[in-house]
Amino acid sequence: MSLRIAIKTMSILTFILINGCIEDVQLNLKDEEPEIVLNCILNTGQDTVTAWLSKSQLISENKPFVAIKDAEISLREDGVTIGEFIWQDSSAYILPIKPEPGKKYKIEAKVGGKTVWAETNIPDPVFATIQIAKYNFVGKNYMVSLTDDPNTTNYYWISAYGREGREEDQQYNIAFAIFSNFLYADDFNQRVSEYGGYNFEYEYYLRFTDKEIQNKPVDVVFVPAGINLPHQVFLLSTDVHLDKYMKSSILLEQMDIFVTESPNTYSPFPVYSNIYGGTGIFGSMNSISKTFSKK
Amino acid sequence: MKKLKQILLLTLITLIISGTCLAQNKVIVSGYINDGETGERLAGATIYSAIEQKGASCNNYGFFSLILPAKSTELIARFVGYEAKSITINIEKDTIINIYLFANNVIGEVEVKASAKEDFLLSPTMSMHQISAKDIGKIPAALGEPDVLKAIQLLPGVFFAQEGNTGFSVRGGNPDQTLILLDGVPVYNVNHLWGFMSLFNNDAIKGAKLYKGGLPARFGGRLSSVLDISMKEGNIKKKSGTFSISPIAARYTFESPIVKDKASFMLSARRTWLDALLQGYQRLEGQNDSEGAQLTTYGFWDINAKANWIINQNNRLYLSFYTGKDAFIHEDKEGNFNDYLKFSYNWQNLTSVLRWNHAFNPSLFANFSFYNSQFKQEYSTKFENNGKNSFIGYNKLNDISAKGDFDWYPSFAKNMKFGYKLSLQKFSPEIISIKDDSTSIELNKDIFTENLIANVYAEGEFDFSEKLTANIGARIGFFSANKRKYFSFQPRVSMRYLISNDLSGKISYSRMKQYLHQLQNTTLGIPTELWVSSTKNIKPGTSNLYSAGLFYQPSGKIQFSTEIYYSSLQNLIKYKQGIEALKERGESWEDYITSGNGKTCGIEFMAEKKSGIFTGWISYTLSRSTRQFDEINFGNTFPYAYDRRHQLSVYTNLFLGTKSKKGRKINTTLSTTFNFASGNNITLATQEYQAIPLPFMEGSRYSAKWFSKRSLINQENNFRMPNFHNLSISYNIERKLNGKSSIWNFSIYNVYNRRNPWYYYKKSNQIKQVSIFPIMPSISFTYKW
Repeated sequence: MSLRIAIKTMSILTFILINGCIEDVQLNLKDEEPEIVLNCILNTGQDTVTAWLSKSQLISENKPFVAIKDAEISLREDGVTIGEFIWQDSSAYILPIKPEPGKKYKIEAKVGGKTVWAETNIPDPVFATIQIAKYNFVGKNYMVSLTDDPNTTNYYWISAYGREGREEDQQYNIAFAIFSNFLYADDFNQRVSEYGGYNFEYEYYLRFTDKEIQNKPVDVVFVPAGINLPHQVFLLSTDVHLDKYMKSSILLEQMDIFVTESPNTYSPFPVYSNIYGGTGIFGSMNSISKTFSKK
Repeated sequence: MKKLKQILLLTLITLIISGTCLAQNKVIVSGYINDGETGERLAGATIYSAIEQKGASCNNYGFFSLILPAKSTELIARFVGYEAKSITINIEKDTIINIYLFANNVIGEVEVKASAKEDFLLSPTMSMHQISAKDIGKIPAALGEPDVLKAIQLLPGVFFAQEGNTGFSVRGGNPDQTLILLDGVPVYNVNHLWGFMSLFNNDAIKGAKLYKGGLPARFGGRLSSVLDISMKEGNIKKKSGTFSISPIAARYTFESPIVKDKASFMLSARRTWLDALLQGYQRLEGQNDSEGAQLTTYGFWDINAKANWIINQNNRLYLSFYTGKDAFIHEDKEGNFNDYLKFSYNWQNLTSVLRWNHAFNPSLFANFSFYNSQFKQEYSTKFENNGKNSFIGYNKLNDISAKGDFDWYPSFAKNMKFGYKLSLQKFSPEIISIKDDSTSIELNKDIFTENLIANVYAEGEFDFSEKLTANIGARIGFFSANKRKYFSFQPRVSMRYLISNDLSGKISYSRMKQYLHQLQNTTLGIPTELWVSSTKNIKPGTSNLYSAGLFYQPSGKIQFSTEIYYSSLQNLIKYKQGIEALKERGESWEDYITSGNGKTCGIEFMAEKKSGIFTGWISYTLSRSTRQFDEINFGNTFPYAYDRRHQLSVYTNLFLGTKSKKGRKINTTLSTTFNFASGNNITLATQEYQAIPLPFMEGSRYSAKWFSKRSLINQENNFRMPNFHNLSISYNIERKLNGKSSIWNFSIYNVYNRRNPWYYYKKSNQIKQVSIFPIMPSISFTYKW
């Protein structure tokens, strides 16, 4: 919270005091060994696991990322190998299995003598109800109700997916913001709101952990912004790795937006990775969702 | 062992007896050296008997004590910028004298030889610089605001954090490793305007002393250095005042005797008018008219106040007070559905100290202080006028201390200093309070730390021979917090050997302890820093500082010095990488830090011309500073952010002459500063990689494109910025008439418009450099009476 406030405040200050000066430069960057990038998210709602493998490149290179095609990628479930990924022309590797909640998975990729690997524990199933909330505020108000399981550590993410723009365009996307007064929401992507009686808005998702709601039934009432009906309202329960990856990615995006809008201060933000020997993410999630249409 | 203790005890008793019972033909001449115009005590002034070839320096309260034969003798009192005064007294018994010196306003003829020699060449204290408020006022300043923290950045071994910023690193230490004292009270945040200005109002201060190494035992609590700033005492002779105005703020200082020659006070206030400018701009834009009342303001102010009372020759009381606040406020009285919204972010310092000077006898002087220093940083959002519906977060530090410092002038040593300090500190970090109509949450209320710190110290300056003098001392510390106790023994030694009449060599060693730490969320120089205490898991920081140097003074006007230094720093702490993503609300900072070590070394050169129509200095530092943390950068050593390999600073002040016009005396001066430094180290994402969209982001929105790529940070501080340099000049016109003066100052910061990089970012496949201080002309005005 304090960082964002400071940056916002700094923007005003810079406007008053200093004439910002931005110019294009060529940095003399040293050659660095590229890192192997492995990305894979296990979703218990899908029957196929997809993995992407590529290499990092210098920021000055400005060329498309090239996928690594000749790798051997395997997946283990609770210590037992359950399959080898197959290369697809879509520049990804796939493995037709359905990940199961509560199990431990390990992914391992061998690339030219190098091995990169990571592990994830898929969270237990989450039980929640999603319904329309009886609020008198503008927009479609939803309520996600759940009681946290005190025996597990949970990271929750709430948002909605819907149609964007005209009906005939058939474009769908995630809500650009969630308006809510939920007291236990993480403030990392929070802004003060002036919409629909809600005090805060949250960029893309509303995140909260079970740290403050142990054994407590909670109702999260919110309005998704920027999407039209039908709305697919969802609740994700992620493992710790995907949670940190999502949070750090959004923080980095915020920093990039700040730097574009108010070019006065910048602090690079490291994106979370749990890949040993490389970078990227191997995470997992459970989700429940409900679709609300005009009817 | 028992026998050794007995011998030590016997020796100590003998020393004390011999110190207090002087031989019959010797007497003690003690007293104070004061400014003849204002009555202020002159710390560091010297008194010298040429016949006896014996002298003494005044302590911080202008007190001196000198043992001389009981006969008529001539004493000469001197201080930088003042006319020397010679007095002949016939001393038959212990005598107390008050000496008044008057400022020498004839530029170029100031006799500084003796006092400069005392500090520079003869004193065993090394790595110390002294700068007066008057000197600070001459240095070209951005936007016309003279600033002590920017002035000291021109000294060797002092590295600036970023352009225009008050943050600094001394000899490769962290900024929080410098103890910054205002009238002996630690100030925990020294910034206005997010570090673009310090909170020290130059009209309210007398001057500052910076100790970079070889720290005497009387100083403790930080690992690298001490910046000791003293406030003006208040003119005890007559009413006087100063009014200053710059493009950014106005300052007003008033001094007056309460009872002439007995008691006086000083009151100084400063306020920015940034808020007025902002409001004016918004009015022009129609943002805060009656229909859509939105208002964004930013402002700061500070107040310094001091009173002192000379009870009698042996007793004097001082009461000092400082408070200052920065506040950013956004108020919206007509949102779509809310009637009221107020967002504010502010930080405030408050220090107060009561001091009692007491001379027990001509050879024993004491100062007792009782102080409180508070710092609070708060951000809040209120959704109703009554604040019932709100989100408030704050960090707070409260320090209450009592200390006693004794100056003893025995016969066996030049002087002895000893004392104690007791502190009770409470750290309340990251307190969060959230309220709405039906619920309220309080987070982290139980994560505060209360600690007790006790220190005792003793140091003495001994002449082992005519050429060899040493200051030997030690500080013993005790720290207790959360049932964890730490003891420390901190020896301090500095020695001077007089190689010839104009050349001396000095060496020093200091062991330091620091019981509090500052955590920084980001690399920004803004107050997102968090002060935390050592705990049962977080050990106090420790440092060992070694210095050696040569000091050459061919005349009273010119001096040269070179010093080499090496410091090792242990038990430093730092947030783990990516803390913002890792740490959950309500969790303690303690779970997310890693501890490590640091090493710094360097060589400094300084040439200084102290008097004449042309004054100034050139300083150069070659240095290296590294850090190592097990959980950062895979445990590998990395360069410290402020590790600037080369730093060169040149400051010149040229007196252009005096004219007389209609009875007015008009003095003009031209000052310049030039800085060159290797770029500082920043953490730069030098690589990027293909990423996968976040869940449900596989759609067509622009953000999906952003989320398809991430930047990769391989190492901490992996990129050295290009060399930094700039030139600033200022032209002063001072008109004097009947003891009143007006000063116009015309400054240009960054004369040749050097675009020093502030940071880099990438946009649309292009790396962008942001620079924030282009060429900046400014005018300021000061009126003194």
